[in-house]
Amino acid sequence: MDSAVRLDEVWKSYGNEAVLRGIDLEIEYGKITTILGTSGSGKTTILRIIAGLEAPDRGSVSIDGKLVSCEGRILVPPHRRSLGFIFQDLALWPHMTVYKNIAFGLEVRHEKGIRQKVEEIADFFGIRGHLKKYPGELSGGQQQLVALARGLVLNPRLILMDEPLSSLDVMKKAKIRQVIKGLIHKFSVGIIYVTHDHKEAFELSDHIVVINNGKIVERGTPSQLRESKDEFVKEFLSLN
Amino acid sequence: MKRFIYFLTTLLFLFIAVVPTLFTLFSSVIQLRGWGGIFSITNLTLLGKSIAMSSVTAFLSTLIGLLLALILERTFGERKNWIKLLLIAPFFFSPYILGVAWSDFFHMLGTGEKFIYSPWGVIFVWTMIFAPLSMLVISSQLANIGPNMEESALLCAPYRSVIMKITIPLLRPAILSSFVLVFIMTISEFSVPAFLSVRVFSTEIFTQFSAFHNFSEAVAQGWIIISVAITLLFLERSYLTDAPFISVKTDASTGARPIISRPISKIFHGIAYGSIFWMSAIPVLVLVFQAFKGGLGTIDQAIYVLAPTVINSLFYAAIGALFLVLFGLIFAFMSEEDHLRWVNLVLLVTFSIPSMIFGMSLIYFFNRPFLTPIYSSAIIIIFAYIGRFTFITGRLIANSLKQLPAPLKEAAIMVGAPPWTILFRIIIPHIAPGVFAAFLIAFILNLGELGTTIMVYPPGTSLMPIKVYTIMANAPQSTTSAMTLVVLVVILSSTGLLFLMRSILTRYSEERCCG
Repeated sequence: MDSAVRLDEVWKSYGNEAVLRGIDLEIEYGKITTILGTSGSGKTTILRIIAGLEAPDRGSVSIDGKLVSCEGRILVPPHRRSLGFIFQDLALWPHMTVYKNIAFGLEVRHEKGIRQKVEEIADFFGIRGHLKKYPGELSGGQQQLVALARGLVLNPRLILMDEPLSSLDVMKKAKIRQVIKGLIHKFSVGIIYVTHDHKEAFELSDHIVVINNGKIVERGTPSQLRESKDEFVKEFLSLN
Repeated sequence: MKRFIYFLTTLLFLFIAVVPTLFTLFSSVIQLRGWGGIFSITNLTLLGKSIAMSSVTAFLSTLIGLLLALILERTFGERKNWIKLLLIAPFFFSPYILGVAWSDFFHMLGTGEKFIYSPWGVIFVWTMIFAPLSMLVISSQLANIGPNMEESALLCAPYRSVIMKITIPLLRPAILSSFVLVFIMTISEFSVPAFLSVRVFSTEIFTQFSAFHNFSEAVAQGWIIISVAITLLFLERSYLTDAPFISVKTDASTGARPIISRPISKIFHGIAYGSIFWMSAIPVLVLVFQAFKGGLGTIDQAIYVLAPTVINSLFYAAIGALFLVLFGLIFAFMSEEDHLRWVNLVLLVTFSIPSMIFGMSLIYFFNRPFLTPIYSSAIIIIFAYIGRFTFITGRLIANSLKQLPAPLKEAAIMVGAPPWTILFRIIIPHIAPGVFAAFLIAFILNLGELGTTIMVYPPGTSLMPIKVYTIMANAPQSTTSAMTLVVLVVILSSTGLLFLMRSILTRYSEERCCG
């Protein structure tokens, strides 16, 4: 497998508070890697630094072997990193229809066959009938699918998901989880998934990274994590 | 009890602000007085000129306001509140103060005098006054746009595309509101065109009333301005009645920071600092220079002339601000806690009544024998303040109330706290910054109010702005500048004193609370 994203000794502080303390991480394409941790542990900050929405104070980030951020500088802006991002609150633009939300990235890149691409991805997610609606007219689950469609329409090689299921009920969560799993095969993407829910992490992931207080405390496959000797991990996963 | 307070407050406000205006306007229609020449070529030309000047000002102010709001909210960090405070300073100087300052500036330059004494000069001064208001309106909306809205677009588009296709369309309500507010405020503003000798519709109304004592025609002309203002207002009412533009935020949201290089970021910061220098510092520096050019004697003379008015002005401004906060607080509760939406609409409509029309209405309604105690005393000045600015204090306090998380109140209800305890122990402490801001802004606006008070002030009750305005037409330039500078110093020092008192009180209450 190719190494998609690599973080070397990444540090990040807000004011005097260190949020990330020397994170080393390699993420591969074609897999679901989950960053698991408690609230405030720094997991969202890792996603934002990979996306280029924040710069690391120290350390570096590479994508496909190319240095994209280092030492407080963003060398490659977010839109040139070929990433998709699903935000926790989805961030669908309320003034645009579903069609416009999905087509936005294609339009600003002046791509050809925009309508066809939008309709194809809308078909895949089963939202073709909602293309003329505004986000406010959709249910939570439908909004989730629109966010996924918007994130994937540009064919990113990696998609970042920041607790995207947190606002859904159990039934919808299960349904969308299946959709997310299917994305790996259909779109050949890698997924970095952030959550505080270890059950969700175990169900979805090929690889899990546990983070606590800005540091990685454990990493491995779900079965490896179940065998972890780390006290925090054992407590967090309720394996005691 | 609550219903009784609501009823009494509404009744009082109707008596002070709404009934006099409606009575005056409808008397003019019913008696058909002053309507003969209302649609004359002269009037229509002046109206067209006023609409054109206000439209251009509203456009320019909104454009500058948008640019400054984007720079402030998207490129500055924690310093943005200080920068914002310095940028909005001109909005709190009375228009006539800036009129004097900018005309002085062009005098000093030795060029551009023809420009400043022309409609374009008035547009320029108005833009300098109202661009900060536009910035305030737009930046409040901008701060409320979640950062993810822009960040999700940044992943597929460069920042300029995000600004043009995501940020600005999301700001559309605020942009339109800024345009409408500036238009309404400038079409009834008369002190700047009057000082710069530019004849517009508002100066015509003032002239009809004060020079020709033609009350009927002035009111009939007022109808036209009010019709234009209210038509525009109703187009934008859904946003304006809930306008967050004058809110004191306890937790300002942070939008997406642009991914821009350091040199470009420095250029944007340079624009912001340059705007502060141009819009806020130059007028003050010019007034200082011009005032001292006449020697210390001119300053002495200005202080001597204005001294008797300072105490009056401060006293009435403070009393007026207290009443404005009281009315604002009760109306805010009516609209936010009891969802009486008509309250905001009534306040908004009264706010759109031009100041001199409101002044004429107060005269027409209260100048009767059995209302003499009100008409011939300083009470009429307080009424003028209440009618003009309750919308501002009401919105400020309502926006603070909106930010109060519902569970805070509900938790108090669950432990059985009675309503008054919840009000004084839970709600008021949380909205205190908003209430203080409402008092401060009302105080400053009262100190500079000219349009209504110049019409209604009773004999022997002289106020600073009126004194300056009546003297400046015949006074030497340096005397006018010196007087204006004195007014500015009084406004700034009393505001500073209020801030000082607030910080002392806050420290005292913290010490008492936490030992």
